[in-house]
Amino acid sequence: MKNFRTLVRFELKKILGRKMTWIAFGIVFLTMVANAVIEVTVTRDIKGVQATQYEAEQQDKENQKPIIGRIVDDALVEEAFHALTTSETAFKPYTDLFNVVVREVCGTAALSSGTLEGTKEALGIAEDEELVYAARKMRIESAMAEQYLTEKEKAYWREVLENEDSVPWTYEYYVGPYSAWAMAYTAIVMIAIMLAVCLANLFADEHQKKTDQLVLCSRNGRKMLYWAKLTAGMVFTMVSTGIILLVSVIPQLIIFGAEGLHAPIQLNVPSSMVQMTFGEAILYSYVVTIIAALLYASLILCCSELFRNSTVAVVAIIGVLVLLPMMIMVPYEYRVLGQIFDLNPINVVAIWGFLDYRLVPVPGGFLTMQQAAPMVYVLLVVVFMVIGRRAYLKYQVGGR
Amino acid sequence: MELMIDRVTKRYENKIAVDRISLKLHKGVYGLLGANGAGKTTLMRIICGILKPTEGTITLDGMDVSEENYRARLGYLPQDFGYYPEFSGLDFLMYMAALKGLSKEQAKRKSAELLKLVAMEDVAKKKIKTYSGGMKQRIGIAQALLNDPEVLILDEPTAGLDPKERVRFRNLIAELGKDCIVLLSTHIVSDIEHIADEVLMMKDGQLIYQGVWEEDNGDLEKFYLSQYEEEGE
Repeated sequence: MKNFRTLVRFELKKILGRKMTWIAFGIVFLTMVANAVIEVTVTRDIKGVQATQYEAEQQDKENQKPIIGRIVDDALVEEAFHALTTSETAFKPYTDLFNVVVREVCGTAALSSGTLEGTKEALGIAEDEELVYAARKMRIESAMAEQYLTEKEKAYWREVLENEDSVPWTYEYYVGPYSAWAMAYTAIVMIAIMLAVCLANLFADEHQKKTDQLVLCSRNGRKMLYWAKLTAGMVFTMVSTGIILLVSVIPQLIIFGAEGLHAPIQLNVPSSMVQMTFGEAILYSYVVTIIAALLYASLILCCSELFRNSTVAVVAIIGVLVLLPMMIMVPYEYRVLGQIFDLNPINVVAIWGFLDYRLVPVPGGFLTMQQAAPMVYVLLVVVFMVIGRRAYLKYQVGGR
Repeated sequence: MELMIDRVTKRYENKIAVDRISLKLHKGVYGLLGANGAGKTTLMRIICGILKPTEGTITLDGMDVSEENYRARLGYLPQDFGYYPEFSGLDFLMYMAALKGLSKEQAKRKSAELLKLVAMEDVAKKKIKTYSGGMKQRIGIAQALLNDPEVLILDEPTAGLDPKERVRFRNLIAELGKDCIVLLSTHIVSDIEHIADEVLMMKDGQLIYQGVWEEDNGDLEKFYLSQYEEEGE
C-alpha cells in the first residue's frame, strides 16, 4: 500500500510536471474567469442601452421587483398583456415573464392576439383554465409526439404533470442561479478538452519514451502501476474539475446574486418536466459534470493505452466527445441511436437536455435521461477501466 | 539458483527472432554476442517477462517469468530506453524503487548507495533532461541494481560510457557475477573477454556457441568476426 501511494505521487508528478498540463489548465481557468470578468467590465448594446451585462441585469432586477413573489396565474399574465399594449415602461416588469414563459408556451398565438382571452381562444383553452399551465401541457404533448414517445412514456409524464408540486409557480428573479447553471455547458466542454490534453500521455508516454521496458519488468509495474496511474489521473480530474466548477459557479452567484435558488427551473424552461429548482439544477449539473469528467478521464486513459500515442488519443477524444455532439444532432426518429447519442454529458448538462422527455426503460418502470445519465457514466467508467487494464496487462514490448 | 530457459522460440509473421533456445544459467557472468538482428534483445526481453515467447518457458528456481516474485528478483537495463524528463535522478531511482517493491527507507538507502556507486551524488537532484548520455546510462545501471537482483540482464550496458567508466563498470559487473546471474550483451568483445565466465553467441535467432572461452580456443574477436564473414560469403 505504501508503494501504491508513492507510485500515485510520482504519477501525479508526471502529470503536473508537464508544461502542457499547466497551459491547458491555465487556459480553461482563465476562460471561465474571463466569462465573469467580461460580464462586469465590457460595455455593449443591451436592449438598446450601452451597458455591461451586470448593469443590464441589475436594471432588469429592479424592473421586475413589482412581480417578484407573485403567483404566475391568469391575473398576472393578463397584467402582462395589458402592459404590453400600454407602454414600454409599463411592460418592463413583465418582460422576462412574457418573453420567457408566456411566449414560450403559447407560441405566436400570444403575440398575434395580444390578449389573454384571445390567446386562450386561439389555442382552444377553456376560460376557466390557467393559460400558462394549459398551454404548457399542450406544448409538452406536442413535444412528446415529436420525440416519438411511446404511450407508456407519455402516461409516465402525464402523471408527473398531474402531481407537480411547484405548480402554480411563484415568480422570482433567478438570473444568478440561471447563469451558474448555464455555465455547466461551457465548463464541461472546456474540462473535456483540458483532460484530453493533460491525461492522454499518461500511458502513451511510457510506450513512446520506451520506459515501458523498465516499468513492466518490475514487481509492481503491471497490476499496481496500472491502478496507480488510474488513481493519479482520477485525482487530477477531481481536483482540476472541482476548481474549474468553482470558478464557473461562484462568480455568477456573486455578480448576479443568489436570489432564485429555490425557484423552479420552469421559470426559464417552462416546457421542462424535470422537477428541480435552480439550486438543485446547479447541484445536479455540477455533480454530473464531475462524474462525466471521471468518465472522460477513464476513456482518455483507456485510449492512451490502446493507441499508445497521445496525439491520436487527444484527437479521438476531442473529436468524438466534444466536436461531434456539438455539430451533429441525431433525429428523434432514430430513437435508440438518438437517445444513446444524447446521453453524451455535454447534452445532458446543457439546458436543452432538460427538455428531453425520452425515458430509459428499466425493470419496474422508467428513468429520466437525467437519472440514467450518471448511472451510465459510472458503468462506463468501470468498462473503460477494465478494457484499459486488459490492454495494459497484455502489452508486450515488441520490436522497435 | 538456476535460470532455466527451455526451448524458447519467438516467431513473428515472417521471421523467427529466437529459435528454440535452451539454457541453464547459474551464478556468474554470461556474455551474449551477436550481430544486429541476431535475436539478443528479443531473448533478453523474453527473459525479463516483457515479451511472451511463442513457445517455451523461462523459470527461476521453478518460478515462472510471469510471476510477480520472479520480477522482484530481476534487474534489467534495456539497450535503448527513455526517462521521465520532469524527474530528477533521485526521483527516478525512488520511483523505480517503489516499482520494485522497496520500502521508503530501503529506497532512500539504496538510492544514496547507488548514486555514490555510479558517481552521481552531486547531480542527484538535477533533472534527468539535463544529463549527458553517459550520465543517463549510469542512472540506468543504478536502477537495475536497486532491488539487489538475483538475475541481472544488461543490454549494451557500457554503450555511451567513456573508457574509464567502461572499465569501472566492467569490474562492477564482474563483482556482481559472484552473487547473481548476469546476462550481458555487447558488441565490445573485449568486455566479454575480460569478465564473462561463459560466452553465448547468437546468429539468426539460434545459439551457435555456448561455453567457457579458453585461451586455447584462440582470439574470441576473430571467431566472432568469422561468423559475419561466413554470413557475407
